Amino acid sequence: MTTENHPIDHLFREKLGSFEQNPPVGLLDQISQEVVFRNRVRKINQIKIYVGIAAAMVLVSMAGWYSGHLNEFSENKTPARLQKEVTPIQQNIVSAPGVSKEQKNHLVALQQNSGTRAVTTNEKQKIKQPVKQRSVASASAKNNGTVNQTAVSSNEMVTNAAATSRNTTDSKEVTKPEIKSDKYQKKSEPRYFANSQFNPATSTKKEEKTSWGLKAEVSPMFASQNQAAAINGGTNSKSMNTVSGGMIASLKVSKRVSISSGIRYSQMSQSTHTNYYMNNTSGIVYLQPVEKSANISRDVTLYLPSISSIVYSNGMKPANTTSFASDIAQEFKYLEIPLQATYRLIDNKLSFGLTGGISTNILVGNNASITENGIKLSNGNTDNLRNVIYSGAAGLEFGYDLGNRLVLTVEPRVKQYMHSVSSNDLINFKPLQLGIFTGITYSFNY
Amino acid sequence: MEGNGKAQTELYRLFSRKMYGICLRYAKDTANAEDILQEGFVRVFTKIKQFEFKGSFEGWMRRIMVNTALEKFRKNDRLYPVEDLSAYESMEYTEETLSSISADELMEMIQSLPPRYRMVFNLYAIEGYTHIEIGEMMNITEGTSKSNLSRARMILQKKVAENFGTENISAEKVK
Repeated sequence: MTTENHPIDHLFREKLGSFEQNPPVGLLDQISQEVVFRNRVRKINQIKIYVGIAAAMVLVSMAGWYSGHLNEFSENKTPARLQKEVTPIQQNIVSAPGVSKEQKNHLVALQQNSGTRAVTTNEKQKIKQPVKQRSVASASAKNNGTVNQTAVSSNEMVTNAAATSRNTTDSKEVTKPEIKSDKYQKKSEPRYFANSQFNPATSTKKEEKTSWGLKAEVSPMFASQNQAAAINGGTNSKSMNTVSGGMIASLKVSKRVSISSGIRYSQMSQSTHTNYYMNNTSGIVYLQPVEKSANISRDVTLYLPSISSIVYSNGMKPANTTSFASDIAQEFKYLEIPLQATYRLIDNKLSFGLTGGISTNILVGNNASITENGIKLSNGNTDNLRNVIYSGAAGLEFGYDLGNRLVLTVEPRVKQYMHSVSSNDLINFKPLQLGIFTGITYSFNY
Repeated sequence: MEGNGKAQTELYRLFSRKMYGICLRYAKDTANAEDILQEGFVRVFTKIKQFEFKGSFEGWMRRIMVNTALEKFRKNDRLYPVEDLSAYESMEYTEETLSSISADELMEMIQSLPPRYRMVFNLYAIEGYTHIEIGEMMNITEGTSKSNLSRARMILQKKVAENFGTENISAEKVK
């Protein structure tokens, strides 16, 4: 608390310190409505946040599930169920007498690729039967109802193998087992022994390519806004060119479509120049220079009065000035979280596609400085900037394979901010920027 | 309290007169004061859970009103012309002159001050904050706060002199 007792201070403190006055009637109703409205907005915002988090989790889960199964889809061309159901019988066949070494190798390879599972009681009983017996039983189609269609086809194949085995034993000549036509097997499904060159290591080579990618990119940003307004002598605002860059992760969800997200740093910069011409007023006019770290409003020029001479309150006096020039430089820095999709029209060594998406831009930097008649008065920041704004982007993507894992990309892209950067109703500043993003993508094969 | 209409009405009935008096001092006119009062009470009602029962409730509300006024000032801080007031620095007044000035007239004078001077004068002369505290609240230096207070006093002296006459009698008499 201060102890100084200036007469003016004393006078005002004495008479206004406990001053009371009835507020206008109806203000309480307005306050109550505003409280209800804000509570509703707060609840809606909370719901939005929860929904956003839930949606993000679902998306991440789906992406994880999809990427996890992408490999399985490409490798398992044979339905897993079919493979599993033949496994126990194969085990018996492998150990059956009269089966050649080559046949055993085929069966062992098949077992290794089909995985293992628990054997049912019904199957155990079958396994205990001699191979010959079972083969005859299956050949005469006397399997009971517990064996499904695929099991029947498996039995038929096994039967065939066993029969062949007996034949070869009799003739003392080992040959590969023949594949009997399977009426239950779909035409699109590959057969077990149809191609003895089955090799899981080479079967999914095409699909393994570029499932995930990480890209580093950078671009100059060319701004489009360049406006002039006649305010007390003329004002000209010009958006300045800046840079943008970041790290983007992409997931190839199909042969032609990929989605990507990451983090990008971007800037906006604007310079406003104003000329004032003096009108006739009396007295000396003080202009309050902007203090360090004080706020500078972009529309500050709208409020400057006509002046005849200028004395800054810090003592500076540009004498005999007939004109007055002001430059306000503003710089806004954002962290951008994009969500983009790319559709590749050409996907070869040289690729070409269309890309587009939306971004959330979070304000992380806000600088402004004001220079009047060549004198830089102070640094500050721009008032009323929105902390979060959204933008949309669309463009083209050109890619060139530099090797197995590296791709060079060039993406001309237009970015349009969806809201004004300022929450001030007087200001409607929605920058349109053009960037030519150059990047290197490193692919992680799955 | 939040969402409790009756409690809000009672609170408003108890404190609205005092708070409106404060808002009037920080505002340039009654419309501006109503805006501050409305925003201030909305904050009181929505943030009442943050009151920790440390100090008086009225003091807490008062700080909310002052902070609301300061926020509005920051949003609308503009460059303002100020006249050369050195001619009024040596003016002094009689006790009778000063006592004849009504609170409404003083309120009118204080509302006519440029926003920055009005803020500093209110915070220093009436609320009792130091220049260092004012500097932190308004994001200005201590020296600027002193300078603004000095100019605010000069402007108010000039207005008193213009409206209620001047005499060369020591200002000590008014203490």
